[in-house]
Amino acid sequence: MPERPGSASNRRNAAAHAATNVPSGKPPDEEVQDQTLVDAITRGEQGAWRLLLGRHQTNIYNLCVRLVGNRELAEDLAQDTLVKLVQNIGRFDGRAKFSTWLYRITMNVCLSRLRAEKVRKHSSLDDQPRDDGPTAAAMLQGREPTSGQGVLTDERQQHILAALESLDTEQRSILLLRDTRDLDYDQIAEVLEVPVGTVKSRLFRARAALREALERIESGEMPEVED
Amino acid sequence: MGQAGGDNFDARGGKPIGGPGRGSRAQGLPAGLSAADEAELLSLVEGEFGPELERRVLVRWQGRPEVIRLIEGMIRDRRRISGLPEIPAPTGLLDHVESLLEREALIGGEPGSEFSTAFEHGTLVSSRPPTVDIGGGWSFARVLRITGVAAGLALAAGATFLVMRGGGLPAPRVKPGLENTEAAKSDNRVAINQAPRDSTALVPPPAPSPTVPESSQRDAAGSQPAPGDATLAAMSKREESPALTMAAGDETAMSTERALELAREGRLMIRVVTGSVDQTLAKVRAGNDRRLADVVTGVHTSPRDVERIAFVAESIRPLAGRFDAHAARSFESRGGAEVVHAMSAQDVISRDRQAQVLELVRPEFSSLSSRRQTARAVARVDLEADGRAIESFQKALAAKGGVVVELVELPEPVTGEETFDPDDVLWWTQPPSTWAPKVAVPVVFEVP
Repeated sequence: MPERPGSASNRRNAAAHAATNVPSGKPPDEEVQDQTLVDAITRGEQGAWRLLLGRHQTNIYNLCVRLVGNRELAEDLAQDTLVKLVQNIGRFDGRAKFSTWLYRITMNVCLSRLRAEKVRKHSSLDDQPRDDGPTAAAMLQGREPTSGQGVLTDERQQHILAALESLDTEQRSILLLRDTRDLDYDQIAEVLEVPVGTVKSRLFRARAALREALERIESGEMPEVED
Repeated sequence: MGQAGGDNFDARGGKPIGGPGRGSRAQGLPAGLSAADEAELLSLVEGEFGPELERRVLVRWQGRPEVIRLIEGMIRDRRRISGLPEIPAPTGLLDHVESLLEREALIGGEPGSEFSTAFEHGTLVSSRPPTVDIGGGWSFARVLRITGVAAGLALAAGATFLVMRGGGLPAPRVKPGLENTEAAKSDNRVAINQAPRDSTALVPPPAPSPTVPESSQRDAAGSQPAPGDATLAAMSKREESPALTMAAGDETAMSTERALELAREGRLMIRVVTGSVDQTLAKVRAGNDRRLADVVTGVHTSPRDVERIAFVAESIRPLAGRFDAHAARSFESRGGAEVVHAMSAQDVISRDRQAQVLELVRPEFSSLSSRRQTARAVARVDLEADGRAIESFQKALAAKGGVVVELVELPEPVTGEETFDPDDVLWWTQPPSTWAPKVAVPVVFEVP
């Protein structure tokens, strides 16, 4: 009989997992708090949903923004992610860290959308424009705001963002998970569902690709966007 | 996880112990790096070596200045990515999520959705009546309650704008304070029946008395096994009444031809229940969704438009019962007799008689109504005079956070008096794409 989420043994597993994965993306006490909230949700305690989602909404939104480079689309994706989180909370068994599980959902949501955009972009050359979402061009037009829009004022930040966007999705994902979400190799492997060795290899290649893109940008040669 | 892959350090025997070797060149990488080299350099970048080991590795690579430059650059890049500012999550993101979940609950969830499963692990679906309101969270009781409150909004709208009318708005059809009386209902029916066109479809279903004893309701409704059957049965009866509103996805949905016909007559209204009026309206205004941008040629929120809401609000007031019934049917279709408990007659009381606001309340749920205020806005949206444009606009609203998007047939035109727009005179200066005939449709936004 499967264990219920949040059961004592699963909490122990989660604690053990957290203890053996230092350094991890989040301090163990935060993971414990997440697990506590998941337990509270399963008990039907008041306010637990909002607390749990409130703790993670900024992380999810930022990951989405950096992945897709468009705030409005990122908002939609973050919404989708949080909805899926609620819908699938029964599947969280405490064996993985909650944040890892959450980032996995986020990545699946974002990558599905990006893949759909890519397929649509390549398959619609002879079709009428479709109306089921932003086009790749719209995504690019609306991508990361300029300094006038109040977030990025530093030229170097804009360069790094442009370089990130020039990478393929796989490379961008792994860099963001490692450097902005501070996930360790094991967590990234769980999120991306690849072996740890693959994570390391891809991470190094992604760093190299980013370096090359940055050098091109800083020398005045803008890289092509491949998405 | 030990699955070998072509790009796997471990699978290629890479350990951070090697020195400069030979290997294939990847994007941005100096030539001649082996898998072991890459693994070692990655560890260097990631700061996994202690100071002494780090120094020794760097010494070993001194003969490859391009590699040293690469590593220095990677370390810098890592700091720069880590230093990217965190962007605050959009205001109302959780409210939107809540709305989406409520919407899914209303429509019974997507096929294969885990919604029910997830809630089965909590207390939200159980064989007992829901007893806990997960404040700010989601429970069937809450969804039902919000649905009830939303149903009450239509009634509240009448009272609200009757008050507004005191400031010079058009005279009321129903005397304030009498909206929920039999006389008022009668008045209202008369008023609506006096509508110039197609009045037979506008006779409102009889509104349920919130204070009717459960036993009476059960008698009236026939035999139903569940404790809350009376209310549901009454709602089901109302459901059989001539439709007033056309909810998206409803089998009685208004045809596009009919919607266009009404829009041309100025008698089509779109009613949107959304998690955030501001955000939904902003999206409509910005036209930043292609579906919106393609069909919306103008959005007006002038005082004149707002003034007209008096008519609009009065027109939608009788629709409350319909909205309730829709929710009831949705929950019935989920097959959960247990959820009926939340809708039993004793749960439905009139809490604010002066405003005649029908609310689905229980003492433990009363915090919701004080915490969540009803926000309303009205806009007049110019759409291409095309049924498909209306349909597309309706779908886009639903996709942009509209929990409920209804096409409502109004008893009389509310958009007859056009606001003067200089652009209309200078139409020939506008792009040809804007020369198409337009219809003006009022859109009323509500937040449960």
